Amino acid sequence: MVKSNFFKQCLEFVSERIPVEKISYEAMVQKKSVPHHKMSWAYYLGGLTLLFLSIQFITGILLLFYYQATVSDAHSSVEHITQYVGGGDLIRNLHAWSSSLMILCLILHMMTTFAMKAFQRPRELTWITGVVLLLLTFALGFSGYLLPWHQIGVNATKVGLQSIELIGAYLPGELALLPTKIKEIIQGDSMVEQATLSRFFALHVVVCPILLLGILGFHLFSIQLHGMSEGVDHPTGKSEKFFPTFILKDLRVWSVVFCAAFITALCIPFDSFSPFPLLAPYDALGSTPPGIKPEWYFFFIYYPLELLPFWLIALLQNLLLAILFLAPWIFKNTSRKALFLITLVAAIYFFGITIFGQDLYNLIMGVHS
Amino acid sequence: METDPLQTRKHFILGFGALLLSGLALSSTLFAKLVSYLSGDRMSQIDRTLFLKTKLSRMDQTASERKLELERKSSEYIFIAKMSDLLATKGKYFIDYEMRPALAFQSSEDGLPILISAKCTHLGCTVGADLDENSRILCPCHVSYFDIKSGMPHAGSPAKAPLPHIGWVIMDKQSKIVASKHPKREVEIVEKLDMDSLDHYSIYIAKKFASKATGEA
Ligand code: HEM
Ligand code: FES
Repeated sequence: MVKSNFFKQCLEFVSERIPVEKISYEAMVQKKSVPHHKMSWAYYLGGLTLLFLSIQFITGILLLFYYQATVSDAHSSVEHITQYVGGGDLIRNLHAWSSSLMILCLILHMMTTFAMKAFQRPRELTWITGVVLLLLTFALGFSGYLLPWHQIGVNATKVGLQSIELIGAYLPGELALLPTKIKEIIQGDSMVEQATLSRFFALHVVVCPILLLGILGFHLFSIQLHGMSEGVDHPTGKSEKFFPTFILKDLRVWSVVFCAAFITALCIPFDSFSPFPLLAPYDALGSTPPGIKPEWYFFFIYYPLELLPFWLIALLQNLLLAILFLAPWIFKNTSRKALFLITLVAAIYFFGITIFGQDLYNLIMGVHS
Repeated sequence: METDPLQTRKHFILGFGALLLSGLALSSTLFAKLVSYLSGDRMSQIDRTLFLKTKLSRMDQTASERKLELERKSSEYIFIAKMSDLLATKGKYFIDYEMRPALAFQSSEDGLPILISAKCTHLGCTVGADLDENSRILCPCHVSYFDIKSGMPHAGSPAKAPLPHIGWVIMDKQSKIVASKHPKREVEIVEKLDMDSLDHYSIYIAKKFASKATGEA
Protein backbone atom coordinates (compact mmCIF):
# COMPACT_ATOMS: atom_id res chain seq x y z
CA MET A 1 0.00 0.00 0.00
CA VAL A 2 1.78 3.08 -1.29
CA LYS A 3 -0.63 5.44 0.34
CA SER A 4 -0.31 4.21 3.88
CA ASN A 5 3.43 3.95 3.45
CA PHE A 6 3.58 7.59 2.52
CA PHE A 7 1.39 8.45 5.47
CA LYS A 8 3.67 6.48 7.76
CA GLN A 9 6.70 8.28 6.42
CA CYS A 10 5.08 11.62 7.05
CA LEU A 11 4.27 10.60 10.57
CA GLU A 12 7.81 9.41 11.15
CA PHE A 13 9.21 12.62 9.76
CA VAL A 14 7.09 14.71 12.07
CA SER A 15 7.62 12.59 15.16
CA GLU A 16 11.38 12.69 14.72
CA ARG A 17 11.32 16.50 14.35
CA ILE A 18 8.86 17.04 17.15
CA PRO A 19 9.62 14.29 19.66
CA VAL A 20 6.60 14.76 21.89
CA GLU A 21 7.73 11.99 24.21
CA LYS A 22 10.52 14.36 25.28
CA ILE A 23 8.14 17.01 26.53
CA SER A 24 9.00 17.11 30.18
CA TYR A 25 10.58 19.52 32.57
CA GLU A 26 13.36 17.03 33.09
CA ALA A 27 14.35 16.64 29.44
CA MET A 28 13.75 20.17 28.33
CA VAL A 29 15.24 22.10 31.21
CA GLN A 30 17.09 19.99 33.75
CA LYS A 31 18.98 17.77 31.36
CA LYS A 32 19.64 20.25 28.57
CA SER A 33 23.27 21.19 28.23
CA VAL A 34 25.20 23.60 26.06
CA PRO A 35 28.41 22.27 24.43
CA HIS A 36 31.63 24.04 25.25
CA HIS A 37 34.09 24.66 22.41
CA LYS A 38 35.74 27.49 20.51
CA MET A 39 32.48 28.44 18.75
CA SER A 40 30.42 28.49 21.97
CA TRP A 41 30.03 32.26 21.77
CA ALA A 42 27.65 31.71 18.88
CA TYR A 43 25.13 30.18 21.29
CA TYR A 44 24.53 33.67 22.70
CA LEU A 45 23.37 35.17 19.41
CA GLY A 46 19.86 33.71 19.34
CA GLY A 47 19.37 34.85 22.91
CA LEU A 48 20.58 38.35 22.09
CA THR A 49 18.13 38.50 19.22
CA LEU A 50 15.47 37.59 21.75
CA LEU A 51 16.64 40.39 24.06
CA PHE A 52 16.35 42.96 21.28
CA LEU A 53 12.99 41.57 20.24
CA SER A 54 11.74 42.08 23.79
CA ILE A 55 13.03 45.66 23.73
CA GLN A 56 11.14 46.16 20.46
CA PHE A 57 7.93 44.91 21.99
CA ILE A 58 8.17 47.09 25.07
CA THR A 59 9.29 50.29 23.34
CA GLY A 60 6.86 49.62 20.49
CA ILE A 61 3.88 49.43 22.84
CA LEU A 62 5.04 52.63 24.51
CA LEU A 63 5.31 54.42 21.15
CA LEU A 64 1.74 53.35 20.39
CA PHE A 65 0.53 55.50 23.27
CA TYR A 66 1.31 58.63 21.25
CA TYR A 67 1.81 57.67 17.62
CA GLN A 68 -1.00 58.52 15.15
CA ALA A 69 -1.19 56.64 11.87
CA THR A 70 -2.61 59.28 9.55
CA VAL A 71 -0.79 61.08 6.77
CA SER A 72 -1.42 64.48 8.32
CA ASP A 73 -0.54 63.53 11.90
CA ALA A 74 2.06 60.76 11.70
CA HIS A 75 5.07 63.02 11.36
CA SER A 76 3.98 65.54 13.96
CA SER A 77 3.01 62.82 16.42
CA VAL A 78 6.55 61.43 16.19
CA GLU A 79 7.90 64.94 16.65
CA HIS A 80 5.64 65.27 19.67
CA ILE A 81 7.05 62.09 21.19
CA THR A 82 10.68 63.00 20.70
CA GLN A 83 10.48 66.65 21.62
CA TYR A 84 7.76 67.06 24.19
CA VAL A 85 7.09 63.78 25.95
CA GLY A 86 9.46 63.06 28.84
CA GLY A 87 11.83 60.27 27.87
CA GLY A 88 10.16 60.07 24.46
CA ASP A 89 13.37 60.57 22.54
CA LEU A 90 14.92 57.74 24.52
CA ILE A 91 12.02 55.36 23.80
CA ARG A 92 12.01 56.11 20.09
CA ASN A 93 15.78 55.94 19.92
CA LEU A 94 15.85 52.61 21.70
CA HIS A 95 13.28 51.25 19.27
CA ALA A 96 15.40 52.38 16.32
CA TRP A 97 18.75 51.21 17.67
CA SER A 98 17.40 47.95 18.94
CA SER A 99 15.77 47.15 15.59
CA SER A 100 19.10 47.50 13.86
CA LEU A 101 20.92 45.53 16.55
CA MET A 102 18.27 42.82 16.42
CA ILE A 103 18.76 42.40 12.70
CA LEU A 104 22.52 42.38 13.12
CA CYS A 105 22.31 39.63 15.75
CA LEU A 106 19.77 37.77 13.65
CA ILE A 107 22.05 37.72 10.63
CA LEU A 108 25.04 36.65 12.71
CA HIS A 109 22.86 34.00 14.38
CA MET A 110 21.86 32.63 11.01
CA MET A 111 25.41 32.66 9.73
CA THR A 112 26.81 30.86 12.77
CA THR A 113 24.08 28.21 12.93
CA PHE A 114 24.71 27.62 9.24
CA ALA A 115 28.49 27.37 9.61
CA MET A 116 28.06 25.03 12.59
CA LYS A 117 25.66 22.86 10.62
CA ALA A 118 23.03 23.20 13.32
CA PHE A 119 20.32 22.73 10.68
CA GLN A 120 21.10 19.01 10.41
CA ARG A 121 18.51 16.33 11.00
CA PRO A 122 16.49 16.44 13.23
CA ARG A 123 16.69 20.27 13.42
CA GLU A 124 15.41 21.07 9.92
CA LEU A 125 12.25 22.68 11.24
CA THR A 126 14.22 24.83 13.66
CA TRP A 127 16.16 26.14 10.68
CA ILE A 128 13.12 26.67 8.47
CA THR A 129 11.18 28.52 11.15
CA GLY A 130 14.35 30.58 11.54
CA VAL A 131 14.25 31.59 7.88
CA VAL A 132 10.59 32.59 8.27
CA LEU A 133 11.53 34.64 11.34
CA LEU A 134 14.19 36.39 9.28
CA LEU A 135 11.67 37.28 6.57
CA LEU A 136 9.18 38.50 9.16
CA THR A 137 11.84 40.65 10.75
CA PHE A 138 12.66 42.20 7.38
CA ALA A 139 8.94 42.84 6.87
CA LEU A 140 8.86 44.59 10.25
CA GLY A 141 11.81 46.73 9.24
CA PHE A 142 10.29 47.63 5.88
CA SER A 143 6.86 48.48 7.27
CA GLY A 144 8.29 50.43 10.20
CA TYR A 145 10.29 52.69 7.89
CA LEU A 146 7.08 54.19 6.48
CA LEU A 147 5.37 54.98 9.77
CA PRO A 148 7.00 58.37 10.57
CA TRP A 149 5.86 59.52 7.10
CA HIS A 150 9.06 61.39 6.37
CA GLN A 151 10.54 62.03 2.92
CA ILE A 152 13.03 59.20 3.05
CA GLY A 153 10.61 56.62 4.39
CA VAL A 154 7.76 57.33 2.00
CA ASN A 155 9.98 57.64 -1.06
CA ALA A 156 11.98 54.52 -0.20
CA THR A 157 8.70 52.64 0.23
CA LYS A 158 7.50 53.90 -3.14
CA VAL A 159 10.68 52.71 -4.83
CA GLY A 160 10.63 49.39 -2.98
CA LEU A 161 7.04 48.67 -3.97
CA GLN A 162 7.53 49.90 -7.50
CA SER A 163 10.24 47.31 -8.06
CA ILE A 164 7.59 44.61 -7.62
CA GLU A 165 5.96 46.05 -10.73
CA LEU A 166 9.17 45.60 -12.75
CA ILE A 167 8.73 41.83 -12.60
CA GLY A 168 5.73 42.28 -14.91
CA ALA A 169 8.02 43.03 -17.86
CA TYR A 170 9.29 39.43 -17.72
CA LEU A 171 5.90 37.73 -17.57
CA PRO A 172 3.89 36.70 -20.62
CA GLY A 173 0.44 37.96 -21.62
CA GLU A 174 -2.12 38.74 -18.96
CA LEU A 175 0.28 37.61 -16.23
CA ALA A 176 2.29 40.76 -16.87
CA LEU A 177 -0.37 42.73 -15.01
CA LEU A 178 -0.20 40.54 -11.92
CA PRO A 179 2.76 42.27 -10.21
CA THR A 180 1.05 45.65 -10.56
CA LYS A 181 -2.06 44.16 -9.00
CA ILE A 182 -0.01 42.72 -6.14
CA LYS A 183 1.67 46.08 -5.62
CA GLU A 184 -1.67 47.84 -5.49
CA ILE A 185 -3.00 45.31 -3.01
CA ILE A 186 -0.06 45.95 -0.72
CA GLN A 187 -0.37 49.69 -1.24
CA GLY A 188 -4.15 49.66 -0.90
CA ASP A 189 -4.34 52.42 -3.50
CA SER A 190 -2.75 53.35 -6.79
CA MET A 191 -0.23 55.43 -4.84
CA VAL A 192 1.54 55.34 -1.51
CA GLU A 193 -1.14 57.17 0.47
CA GLN A 194 -3.22 56.96 3.62
CA ALA A 195 -4.37 53.44 2.67
CA THR A 196 -0.73 52.33 2.54
CA LEU A 197 0.04 53.89 5.90
CA SER A 198 -2.95 52.14 7.50
CA ARG A 199 -1.94 48.79 6.06
CA PHE A 200 1.71 49.12 7.00
CA PHE A 201 0.67 50.18 10.48
CA ALA A 202 -1.49 47.07 10.87
CA LEU A 203 1.31 44.88 9.50
CA HIS A 204 3.93 46.47 11.70
CA VAL A 205 2.10 46.42 15.00
CA VAL A 206 -0.28 43.48 14.71
CA VAL A 207 0.21 41.03 11.87
CA CYS A 208 3.99 40.60 11.82
CA PRO A 209 4.45 40.59 15.61
CA ILE A 210 1.74 37.97 16.12
CA LEU A 211 3.12 35.72 13.39
CA LEU A 212 6.61 36.28 14.74
CA LEU A 213 5.64 35.35 18.27
CA GLY A 214 3.87 32.19 17.15
CA ILE A 215 6.72 31.00 14.99
CA LEU A 216 9.32 32.01 17.53
CA GLY A 217 7.42 29.92 20.06
CA PHE A 218 7.88 26.89 17.85
CA HIS A 219 11.53 27.80 17.17
CA LEU A 220 12.34 27.94 20.89
CA PHE A 221 10.21 24.93 21.74
CA SER A 222 11.99 22.72 19.26
CA ILE A 223 15.37 23.93 20.49
CA GLN A 224 14.44 22.88 24.01
CA LEU A 225 13.20 19.53 22.70
CA HIS A 226 16.29 18.69 20.69
CA GLY A 227 18.87 20.30 22.92
CA MET A 228 21.79 22.20 21.44
CA SER A 229 23.58 20.66 18.48
CA GLU A 230 27.28 19.86 18.85
CA GLY A 231 28.32 22.47 16.33
CA VAL A 232 31.90 21.26 15.76
CA ASP A 233 33.50 18.21 14.14
CA HIS A 234 35.44 17.14 17.21
CA PRO A 235 33.36 17.76 20.31
CA THR A 236 35.49 18.62 23.32
CA GLY A 237 33.19 16.55 25.46
CA LYS A 238 32.85 19.49 27.80
CA SER A 239 29.48 21.11 28.31
CA GLU A 240 27.58 23.32 30.69
CA LYS A 241 24.19 22.79 32.18
CA PHE A 242 21.60 24.94 30.44
CA PHE A 243 19.88 25.62 33.72
CA PRO A 244 21.13 27.43 35.69
CA THR A 245 24.68 27.86 34.35
CA PHE A 246 24.02 28.89 30.77
CA ILE A 247 20.92 30.92 31.58
CA LEU A 248 22.92 32.93 34.10
CA LYS A 249 25.69 33.51 31.57
CA ASP A 250 23.03 34.53 29.06
CA LEU A 251 21.64 37.02 31.55
CA ARG A 252 25.13 38.38 32.16
CA VAL A 253 25.63 39.01 28.45
CA TRP A 254 22.14 40.51 28.23
CA SER A 255 22.76 42.99 31.03
CA VAL A 256 26.04 44.17 29.52
CA VAL A 257 24.52 44.47 26.06
CA PHE A 258 21.40 46.17 27.39
CA CYS A 259 23.50 48.73 29.26
CA ALA A 260 25.48 49.41 26.10
CA ALA A 261 22.33 49.77 23.98
CA PHE A 262 20.67 51.93 26.64
CA ILE A 263 23.61 54.31 26.86
CA THR A 264 23.90 54.43 23.08
CA ALA A 265 20.21 55.29 22.74
CA LEU A 266 20.57 57.89 25.47
CA CYS A 267 23.51 59.63 23.80
CA ILE A 268 23.41 59.05 20.04
CA PRO A 269 20.20 59.86 18.17
CA PHE A 270 19.66 57.19 15.54
CA ASP A 271 18.59 59.98 13.19
CA SER A 272 22.05 61.49 13.25
CA PHE A 273 23.02 59.10 10.47
CA SER A 274 20.41 60.51 8.06
CA PRO A 275 20.85 63.80 6.27
CA PHE A 276 18.35 66.14 7.85
CA PRO A 277 16.13 67.23 4.90
CA LEU A 278 15.23 63.59 4.32
CA LEU A 279 13.54 63.46 7.70
CA ALA A 280 11.25 66.37 6.90
CA PRO A 281 7.58 65.43 6.45
CA TYR A 282 6.72 63.83 3.13
CA ASP A 283 5.71 66.33 0.48
CA ALA A 284 3.37 64.77 -2.07
CA LEU A 285 3.59 67.74 -4.39
CA GLY A 286 7.35 68.27 -4.51
CA SER A 287 10.20 66.46 -6.22
CA THR A 288 11.85 63.43 -4.66
CA PRO A 289 14.93 64.63 -2.79
CA PRO A 290 18.23 63.01 -3.74
CA GLY A 291 19.75 60.45 -1.39
CA ILE A 292 16.72 58.19 -0.90
CA LYS A 293 17.93 54.91 0.54
CA PRO A 294 16.47 52.01 2.46
CA GLU A 295 17.80 51.06 5.90
CA TRP A 296 21.30 49.59 5.97
CA TYR A 297 20.11 46.00 6.28
CA PHE A 298 18.56 46.20 2.83
CA PHE A 299 21.77 47.48 1.21
CA PHE A 300 22.82 43.94 0.28
CA ILE A 301 19.92 43.90 -2.17
CA TYR A 302 19.54 47.63 -2.81
CA TYR A 303 22.98 48.31 -4.32
CA PRO A 304 22.92 45.30 -6.65
CA LEU A 305 19.45 46.47 -7.76
CA GLU A 306 20.96 49.85 -8.58
CA LEU A 307 23.91 48.45 -10.44
CA LEU A 308 22.82 45.23 -12.13
CA PRO A 309 19.95 44.30 -14.45
CA PHE A 310 16.72 43.74 -12.57
CA TRP A 311 16.03 40.23 -13.87
CA LEU A 312 19.38 39.05 -12.57
CA ILE A 313 18.68 40.32 -9.06
CA ALA A 314 15.15 38.90 -9.06
CA LEU A 315 16.58 35.54 -10.10
CA LEU A 316 19.41 35.58 -7.55
CA GLN A 317 17.09 36.66 -4.78
CA ASN A 318 14.67 33.81 -5.41
CA LEU A 319 17.55 31.39 -5.70
CA LEU A 320 18.94 32.58 -2.37
CA LEU A 321 15.52 32.15 -0.73
CA ALA A 322 15.17 28.65 -2.12
CA ILE A 323 18.67 27.75 -0.92
CA LEU A 324 17.92 29.11 2.54
CA PHE A 325 14.71 27.11 2.85
CA LEU A 326 16.25 23.92 1.48
CA ALA A 327 19.62 24.28 3.21
CA PRO A 328 19.12 21.26 5.51
CA TRP A 329 18.79 19.05 2.42
CA ILE A 330 21.15 20.82 0.01
CA PHE A 331 24.02 20.86 2.48
CA LYS A 332 23.25 17.50 4.07
CA ASN A 333 26.62 16.02 3.15
CA THR A 334 28.68 19.19 3.12
CA SER A 335 31.54 19.30 5.58
CA ARG A 336 31.66 21.97 8.27
CA LYS A 337 34.85 23.31 6.68
CA ALA A 338 33.02 23.97 3.41
CA LEU A 339 30.03 25.47 5.24
CA PHE A 340 32.40 27.74 7.11
CA LEU A 341 33.92 28.94 3.82
CA ILE A 342 30.48 29.57 2.30
CA THR A 343 29.50 31.55 5.39
CA LEU A 344 32.72 33.54 5.19
CA VAL A 345 32.06 34.48 1.57
CA ALA A 346 28.46 35.41 2.38
CA ALA A 347 29.58 37.49 5.36
CA ILE A 348 32.24 39.32 3.35
CA TYR A 349 29.65 40.08 0.68
CA PHE A 350 26.99 41.19 3.14
CA PHE A 351 29.14 43.40 5.34
CA GLY A 352 31.27 44.56 2.42
CA ILE A 353 28.32 45.85 0.42
CA THR A 354 26.67 47.29 3.53
CA ILE A 355 29.75 49.33 4.41
CA PHE A 356 31.21 50.09 0.97
CA GLY A 357 28.06 49.96 -1.21
CA GLN A 358 27.88 53.71 -1.66
CA ASP A 359 31.56 53.96 -2.62
CA LEU A 360 31.15 51.12 -5.06
CA TYR A 361 28.09 52.84 -6.52
CA ASN A 362 29.91 56.17 -6.91
CA LEU A 363 32.88 54.42 -8.46
CA ILE A 364 30.84 52.55 -11.05
CA MET A 365 28.39 55.35 -11.83
CA GLY A 366 31.25 57.86 -11.94
CA VAL A 367 33.01 55.78 -14.58
CA HIS A 368 29.83 55.48 -16.63
CA SER A 369 28.66 59.04 -16.89
CA MET B 1 47.43 28.30 43.81
CA GLU B 2 45.98 28.86 47.26
CA THR B 3 43.28 31.50 47.56
CA ASP B 4 42.64 33.27 50.79
CA PRO B 5 38.96 32.70 51.62
CA LEU B 6 38.83 36.12 53.27
CA GLN B 7 40.17 37.77 50.11
CA THR B 8 37.67 35.85 48.01
CA ARG B 9 34.82 36.92 50.23
CA LYS B 10 35.97 40.53 50.09
CA HIS B 11 36.04 40.39 46.29
CA PHE B 12 32.66 38.81 46.24
CA ILE B 13 31.14 41.44 48.48
CA LEU B 14 32.76 44.25 46.52
CA GLY B 15 31.64 42.81 43.19
CA PHE B 16 28.16 42.16 44.42
CA GLY B 17 27.91 45.65 45.89
CA ALA B 18 29.05 47.24 42.67
CA LEU B 19 26.56 45.20 40.69
CA LEU B 20 23.76 46.12 43.06
CA LEU B 21 24.62 49.78 42.85
CA SER B 22 24.83 49.92 39.09
CA GLY B 23 21.69 47.82 38.79
CA LEU B 24 19.93 50.24 41.10
CA ALA B 25 21.18 53.24 39.12
CA LEU B 26 20.09 51.74 35.83
CA SER B 27 16.68 50.62 37.00
CA SER B 28 15.91 53.91 38.74
CA THR B 29 16.87 55.83 35.59
CA LEU B 30 14.69 53.49 33.57
CA PHE B 31 11.83 53.82 36.02
CA ALA B 32 12.06 57.61 36.12
CA LYS B 33 12.07 57.80 32.33
CA LEU B 34 9.12 55.45 32.12
CA VAL B 35 7.05 57.42 34.63
CA SER B 36 7.75 60.70 32.88
CA TYR B 37 6.94 59.10 29.52
CA LEU B 38 3.62 57.85 30.77
CA SER B 39 2.73 61.18 32.39
CA GLY B 40 2.23 62.82 29.01
CA ASP B 41 3.87 65.79 27.40
CA ARG B 42 5.40 68.78 29.13
CA MET B 43 5.06 71.75 26.87
CA SER B 44 5.35 75.42 27.58
CA GLN B 45 2.56 77.71 26.37
CA ILE B 46 4.76 78.83 23.47
CA ASP B 47 5.73 75.30 22.50
CA ARG B 48 2.13 74.21 22.51
CA THR B 49 1.06 77.15 20.36
CA LEU B 50 3.83 76.50 17.84
CA PHE B 51 3.15 72.79 17.79
CA LEU B 52 -0.57 73.29 17.23
CA LYS B 53 0.28 75.58 14.33
CA THR B 54 2.47 72.91 12.78
CA LYS B 55 -0.26 70.33 13.21
CA LEU B 56 -2.86 72.59 11.65
CA SER B 57 -0.68 73.39 8.67
CA ARG B 58 -0.15 69.67 8.05
CA MET B 59 -3.90 69.14 8.19
CA ASP B 60 -4.38 72.01 5.78
CA GLN B 61 -1.90 70.35 3.47
CA THR B 62 -3.82 67.07 3.63
CA ALA B 63 -7.07 68.94 3.15
CA SER B 64 -5.74 70.67 0.06
CA GLU B 65 -4.62 67.32 -1.36
CA ARG B 66 -8.10 65.94 -0.78
CA LYS B 67 -9.58 69.00 -2.49
CA LEU B 68 -7.33 68.43 -5.47
CA GLU B 69 -8.61 64.88 -5.68
CA LEU B 70 -12.24 65.96 -5.50
CA GLU B 71 -11.66 68.61 -8.14
CA ARG B 72 -10.17 66.01 -10.45
CA LYS B 73 -13.19 63.77 -10.01
CA SER B 74 -15.70 66.51 -10.73
CA SER B 75 -14.27 69.16 -13.07
CA GLU B 76 -13.92 69.05 -16.84
CA TYR B 77 -11.04 71.55 -16.77
CA ILE B 78 -8.49 72.26 -14.08
CA PHE B 79 -6.50 75.45 -13.84
CA ILE B 80 -2.73 74.94 -13.93
CA ALA B 81 -1.15 78.37 -14.33
CA LYS B 82 -1.35 81.66 -16.11
CA MET B 83 0.56 81.61 -19.36
CA SER B 84 2.70 84.45 -18.08
CA ASP B 85 3.73 82.42 -15.02
CA LEU B 86 5.35 79.59 -16.95
CA LEU B 87 9.11 79.58 -17.31
CA ALA B 88 11.25 77.98 -19.97
CA THR B 89 13.91 76.70 -17.57
CA LYS B 90 12.04 75.79 -14.44
CA GLY B 91 8.88 73.73 -14.42
CA LYS B 92 5.83 74.35 -12.29
CA TYR B 93 4.56 71.28 -10.47
CA PHE B 94 0.91 70.34 -10.72
CA ILE B 95 -1.17 67.22 -10.21
CA ASP B 96 -2.72 65.54 -13.23
CA TYR B 97 -6.12 63.84 -13.48
CA GLU B 98 -4.65 60.59 -12.14
CA MET B 99 -3.27 62.45 -9.09
CA ARG B 100 0.27 62.00 -10.35
CA PRO B 101 2.83 64.81 -10.25
CA ALA B 102 3.51 66.63 -13.50
CA LEU B 103 5.43 69.68 -14.71
CA ALA B 104 4.48 72.66 -16.84
CA PHE B 105 7.07 74.56 -18.90
CA GLN B 106 6.93 77.21 -21.53
CA SER B 107 8.47 75.98 -24.75
CA SER B 108 11.52 78.02 -25.65
CA GLU B 109 10.65 77.55 -29.33
CA ASP B 110 7.04 78.61 -29.82
CA GLY B 111 6.21 79.95 -26.39
CA LEU B 112 3.38 77.43 -25.96
CA PRO B 113 3.06 75.23 -22.86
CA ILE B 114 4.77 71.87 -22.50
CA LEU B 115 3.02 69.67 -19.95
CA ILE B 116 4.80 66.49 -19.05
CA SER B 117 4.36 63.80 -16.42
CA ALA B 118 6.89 64.02 -13.57
CA LYS B 119 6.45 60.45 -12.42
CA CYS B 120 9.67 58.74 -13.43
CA THR B 121 9.05 55.75 -15.67
CA HIS B 122 11.79 53.85 -13.86
CA LEU B 123 10.64 53.46 -10.25
CA GLY B 124 8.21 56.30 -9.88
CA CYS B 125 10.20 59.00 -8.11
CA THR B 126 9.14 62.58 -8.80
CA VAL B 127 11.41 64.15 -11.39
CA GLY B 128 13.07 67.50 -10.58
CA ALA B 129 11.79 70.77 -12.06
CA ASP B 130 15.03 72.36 -13.28
CA LEU B 131 15.96 72.17 -16.93
CA ASP B 132 19.63 71.62 -17.72
CA GLU B 133 21.43 73.19 -20.71
CA ASN B 134 20.28 70.33 -22.97
CA SER B 135 16.62 70.97 -22.03
CA ARG B 136 16.46 67.86 -19.88
CA ILE B 137 14.98 67.27 -16.45
CA LEU B 138 16.61 64.94 -13.95
CA CYS B 139 15.19 62.15 -11.82
CA PRO B 140 17.47 62.17 -8.78
CA CYS B 141 16.69 58.64 -7.64
CA HIS B 142 18.84 56.71 -10.11
CA VAL B 143 19.87 59.53 -12.45
CA SER B 144 17.62 59.46 -15.51
CA TYR B 145 17.61 62.57 -17.72
CA PHE B 146 14.46 63.18 -19.77
CA ASP B 147 14.20 65.47 -22.76
CA ILE B 148 11.07 67.52 -22.15
CA LYS B 149 10.23 67.93 -25.83
CA SER B 150 10.20 64.25 -26.70
CA GLY B 151 9.88 62.88 -23.16
CA MET B 152 12.66 60.42 -23.99
CA PRO B 153 15.22 59.34 -21.38
CA HIS B 154 18.88 59.66 -22.36
CA ALA B 155 20.71 56.56 -23.55
CA GLY B 156 21.98 54.41 -20.71
CA SER B 157 19.61 55.78 -18.07
CA PRO B 158 17.75 53.29 -15.90
CA ALA B 159 14.40 54.58 -17.19
CA LYS B 160 13.57 53.17 -20.62
CA ALA B 161 10.12 54.55 -21.41
CA PRO B 162 9.49 58.22 -22.18
CA LEU B 163 7.64 60.50 -19.78
CA PRO B 164 4.20 60.96 -21.36
CA HIS B 165 3.04 64.43 -22.34
CA ILE B 166 -0.23 65.77 -20.99
CA GLY B 167 -2.81 67.53 -23.10
CA TRP B 168 -3.85 71.12 -22.34
CA VAL B 169 -6.21 73.87 -23.35
CA ILE B 170 -5.61 77.61 -23.24
CA MET B 171 -8.51 79.88 -22.37
CA ASP B 172 -8.73 83.63 -22.54
CA LYS B 173 -10.26 85.92 -19.94
CA GLN B 174 -13.78 85.10 -21.13
CA SER B 175 -13.07 81.37 -20.65
CA LYS B 176 -13.11 80.86 -24.38
CA ILE B 177 -10.82 78.13 -25.63
CA VAL B 178 -8.22 79.67 -27.92
CA ALA B 179 -5.85 76.72 -28.31
CA SER B 180 -5.59 73.10 -27.26
CA LYS B 181 -3.33 70.11 -27.52
CA HIS B 182 -4.21 66.45 -27.43
CA PRO B 183 -1.24 64.57 -25.90
CA LYS B 184 -0.63 62.68 -29.15
CA ARG B 185 -1.58 65.27 -31.75
CA GLU B 186 -0.46 68.65 -33.02
CA VAL B 187 -1.52 71.90 -31.38
CA GLU B 188 -4.88 73.22 -32.52
CA ILE B 189 -5.04 76.99 -32.64
CA VAL B 190 -8.58 78.36 -32.59
CA GLU B 191 -7.65 81.99 -32.36
CA LYS B 192 -4.20 83.46 -32.69
CA LEU B 193 -2.61 84.19 -29.31
CA ASP B 194 -1.36 87.64 -28.49
CA MET B 195 2.11 86.72 -27.27
CA ASP B 196 2.68 90.16 -25.75
CA SER B 197 -0.10 89.90 -23.22
CA LEU B 198 0.30 86.35 -21.96
CA ASP B 199 -1.32 87.19 -18.64
CA HIS B 200 -4.64 87.22 -20.49
CA TYR B 201 -4.39 83.48 -21.00
CA SER B 202 -4.67 80.57 -18.60
CA ILE B 203 -3.67 76.96 -19.03
CA TYR B 204 -5.94 74.12 -18.04
CA ILE B 205 -5.73 70.36 -18.17
CA ALA B 206 -8.84 68.72 -19.56
CA LYS B 207 -10.66 65.59 -18.52
CA LYS B 208 -11.14 64.62 -22.17
CA PHE B 209 -7.32 64.52 -22.52
CA ALA B 210 -6.72 62.54 -19.30
CA SER B 211 -5.07 59.20 -19.92
CA LYS B 212 -8.24 57.30 -19.03
CA ALA B 213 -10.08 59.14 -21.79
CA THR B 214 -7.33 58.79 -24.37
CA GLY B 215 -6.73 55.14 -23.46
CA GLU B 216 -3.12 55.30 -22.33
CA ALA B 217 -1.52 53.87 -19.25
C1 HEM C 1 13.34 36.48 15.65
C2 HEM C 1 14.41 35.84 15.36
C3 HEM C 1 15.08 34.70 16.10
C4 HEM C 1 15.16 34.49 17.45
C5 HEM C 1 14.59 35.38 18.56
C6 HEM C 1 15.89 33.25 17.63
C7 HEM C 1 16.19 32.70 18.86
C8 HEM C 1 16.95 31.54 19.04
C9 HEM C 1 17.46 31.09 20.29
C10 HEM C 1 17.24 31.79 21.66
C11 HEM C 1 18.18 29.94 20.07
C12 HEM C 1 18.98 29.10 21.10
C13 HEM C 1 20.35 29.73 21.38
C14 HEM C 1 21.27 29.80 20.17
O1 HEM C 1 21.59 28.78 19.55
O2 HEM C 1 21.65 30.92 19.80
C15 HEM C 1 18.10 29.65 18.66
C16 HEM C 1 18.66 28.53 18.03
C17 HEM C 1 18.63 28.30 16.64
N1 HEM C 1 18.19 29.18 15.68
FE1 HEM C 1 17.22 30.92 16.03
N2 HEM C 1 16.23 32.74 16.40
C18 HEM C 1 15.76 33.60 15.44
C19 HEM C 1 15.93 33.48 14.08
C20 HEM C 1 16.64 32.43 13.44
C21 HEM C 1 17.03 32.42 12.05
C22 HEM C 1 16.79 33.58 11.05
C23 HEM C 1 17.66 31.20 11.82
C24 HEM C 1 18.23 30.66 10.53
C25 HEM C 1 17.66 30.70 9.38
C26 HEM C 1 17.66 30.47 13.05
C27 HEM C 1 18.17 29.20 13.22
C28 HEM C 1 18.41 28.59 14.44
C29 HEM C 1 18.95 27.25 14.61
C30 HEM C 1 19.29 26.24 13.49
C31 HEM C 1 19.09 27.06 16.01
C32 HEM C 1 19.61 25.80 16.72
C33 HEM C 1 21.03 26.02 17.14
C34 HEM C 1 21.61 24.76 17.75
O3 HEM C 1 20.86 23.83 18.08
O4 HEM C 1 22.86 24.74 17.89
N3 HEM C 1 17.05 31.24 14.02
N4 HEM C 1 17.35 30.64 18.06
S1 FES D 1 13.06 56.29 -10.24
FE1 FES D 1 13.76 57.76 -11.63
S2 FES D 1 15.64 56.93 -12.24
FE2 FES D 1 14.89 55.40 -10.90
